[in-house]
Amino acid sequence: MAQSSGSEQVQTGFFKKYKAVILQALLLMALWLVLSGHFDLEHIIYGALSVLLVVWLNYRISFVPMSNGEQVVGSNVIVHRMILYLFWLLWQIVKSGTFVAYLTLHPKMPINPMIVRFRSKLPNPLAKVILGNSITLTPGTLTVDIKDDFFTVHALIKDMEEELVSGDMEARVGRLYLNKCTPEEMCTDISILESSLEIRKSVSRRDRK
Amino acid sequence: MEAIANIFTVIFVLLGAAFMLVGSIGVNRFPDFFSRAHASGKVDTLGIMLFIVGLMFYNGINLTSLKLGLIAVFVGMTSPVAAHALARRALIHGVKHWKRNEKEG
Repeated sequence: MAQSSGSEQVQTGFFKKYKAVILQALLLMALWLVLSGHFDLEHIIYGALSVLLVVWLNYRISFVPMSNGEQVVGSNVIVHRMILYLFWLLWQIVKSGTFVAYLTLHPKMPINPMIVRFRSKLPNPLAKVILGNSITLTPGTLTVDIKDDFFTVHALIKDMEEELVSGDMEARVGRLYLNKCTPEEMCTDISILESSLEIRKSVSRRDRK
Repeated sequence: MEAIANIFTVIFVLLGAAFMLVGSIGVNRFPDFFSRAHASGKVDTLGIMLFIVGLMFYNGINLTSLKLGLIAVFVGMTSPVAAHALARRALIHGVKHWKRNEKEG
C-alpha cells in the first residue's frame, strides 16, 4: 500500500488529470462490446462515438452542483482499492443474506430492532452513497437516511449495531478516497434513537409536503 | 467437464431458489415494515445473484454469461437502493419500528 500511494503522487500531467475520464471510457467501451457482441470495425466505431458522447455528458455533469450546493466530485478514487473493496462487498452480501435467512427461519426469531444514528466524515457525496449502499448490504443493517454527515441506520439485532459503529466499514470506504483514515475518526456522535419524535427529526424533510 | 458444470448449475440454482423462498417467508414472518425491508433487500439479492451464477455455469464461458454477470451486478447495485428508498419513505411518513418488549423476553 505504501509504495502504491507513493507512485500515485509521482503520476502527474495528462494521465492523472484525466484518469477518471479514461477509466470511464474504458468501462463503457467494455460494456458496449459485451452488449453488442459484434467485434467488427463498423460496430466498434459506432461504440466509440457513443462512448465519446456519454463521457462528454458525464464530464459536464460533474460540474453541476447538487441541491444543497455541494459539487459532485468523486473521481479521485483509488482504483486497486476499489477492486479489493468490491470483492469484500461480495463476501458481505453472502454473509448478510445467510444471516438474515437464518433469522427468518429461526423459530423464535431472535431480533431486537433499533435505529442508530452516527456521523461519518467522508470526503465526498459519492463516498457517502457507497457507504450507504454497503451498510445496506452488510449483515442486519439497512441505511434509512443520509443527511449531511449523519447516517440513520436500522439494525436488526444489537451485535450488528455494535459492529456497525465500530467504524470498520466506514474506514474501508474512507480509504477508497483518502490515503489514511482510522475507524475512530470515521464514526462519531453515535446515538440510539428511542422516541419516534427523535427519529422523525433525524430524517431529512425538505421534499415533504 | 459438462457434467461438472451441470452439477454446479444445479447447486447454485437450487441455492438461489431456496434463498428467494426464504426471503419471501421473511417478508411474511418479520413483525414490521423495516425488518421486512431487510428480508426483501438482502436475502432476495443473494438469491437472485446465486441463481444467475448458476445460469452462468450452465452457459459456459461466452458472451451470454458476461451479460448474465452484468445483470447480477445491476441487481447488487439497485436492490439496496430500493430497500433504502422504501424504508426512508416509511420513516418520513411516521411508520413506527417494532421493538422487542422486555416482558415478552
